[in-house]
Amino acid sequence: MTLDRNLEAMLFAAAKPFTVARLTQMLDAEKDDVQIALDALAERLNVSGSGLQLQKNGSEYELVTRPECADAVAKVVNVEAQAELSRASLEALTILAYRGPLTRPELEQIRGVQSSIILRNLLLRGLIEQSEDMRLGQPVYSVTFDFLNHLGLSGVEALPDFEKLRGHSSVVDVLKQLESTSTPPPADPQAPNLHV
Amino acid sequence: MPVTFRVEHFEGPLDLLLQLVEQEKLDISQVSLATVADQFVEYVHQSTEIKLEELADFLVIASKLVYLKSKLLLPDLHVEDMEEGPDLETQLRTYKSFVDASRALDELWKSGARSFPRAKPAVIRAQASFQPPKDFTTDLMRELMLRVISRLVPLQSLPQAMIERVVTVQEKIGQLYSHIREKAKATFRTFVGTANSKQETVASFLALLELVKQRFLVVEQGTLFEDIAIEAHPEAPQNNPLSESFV
Repeated sequence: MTLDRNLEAMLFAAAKPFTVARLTQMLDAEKDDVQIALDALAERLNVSGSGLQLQKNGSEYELVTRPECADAVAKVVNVEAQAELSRASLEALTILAYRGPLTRPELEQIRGVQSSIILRNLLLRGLIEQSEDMRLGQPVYSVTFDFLNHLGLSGVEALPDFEKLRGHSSVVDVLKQLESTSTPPPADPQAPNLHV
Repeated sequence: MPVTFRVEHFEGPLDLLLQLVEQEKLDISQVSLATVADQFVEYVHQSTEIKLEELADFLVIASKLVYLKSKLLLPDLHVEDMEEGPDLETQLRTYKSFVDASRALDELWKSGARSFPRAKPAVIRAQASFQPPKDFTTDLMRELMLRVISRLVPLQSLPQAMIERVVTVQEKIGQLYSHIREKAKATFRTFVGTANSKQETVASFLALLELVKQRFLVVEQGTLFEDIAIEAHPEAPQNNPLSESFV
């Protein structure tokens, strides 16, 4: 199996994240094979005692150093002091990490309070990103590679109780209720057309 | 019901509600939510911490609490508008599960565990110039601009409504109480004689009920629909009725 070796070398040399689709295209391979090779690479790094780990965010992959090596790496790279997170920021980040990507109204539905300022702060700090994938006419927010690096995580899936909280039936309920109540009413044919 | 302890700081209405339930050492349930409803309303009423732009969110939760409490008292109560949207118990449970998870995340954040991506190879910065992609056309620019504009239009324009200034029950409690202190006796009809609207009459009546409940006043009514005689309770408490909360 040379595919996972090639992927390792490519991700090392490029020093930036790539989507599975982009890797598949560059390697001229089957997408399923690339995915299998990526999983194999992650596993090999985990069991071989490597100082690196494969990090996944959404459909993107990047090679990063293992959190256990943080002190050693700090000797050779500049590490900025990690400012504390406010309670509100922590809340929003947690929700986006476990349940993201989410639109702003979805996040607010869970937090019960308007969150545009928090979102803007987190965007400025580079811990979340806004993407153009619209849902219910709204852009969606998700955590960034930077966020994962701050915590030394290989992906959001590595968070405690990830599966349990992500699939939590009450979370699904709360979000579903939002979808049913926020559907815009059908256009009234009798209403005057304002977009002349 | 007087507030017996203070929640020092809260992030939004669900956080306040959760802290109130937890301080009473209760599990999240319809009953426990109804139990803390009065306290919640009192906080919203008195807190200087609630930002104006968040007030509406607090009022939404307060109204759900009051509805929940009313439903426990009147099991047949069913208001279509209030049944819409997420039920408060589920919402609070969900919120709590994320608050718990955020504590673990905070520990991880503070633990110093970090990963580093490979440092970007140094590149010589090319002279900045406008280099549009090959398929970039003015039509595409127009389309992109339209997309930007469409994002600025609010999803659903909010209906505009005027909020009519209505006299509050609190105000009426104050008026009725000082009225009785001056005159010693009164009847309900003379008291509402000056009311300008049905709402004001209702507020007066609620004020009367509250003051009777708090043992500031006693009332007497001969028969149904007859005027109600009001006088001070012989053992009326000395404090001000307005310092007590009520829902």
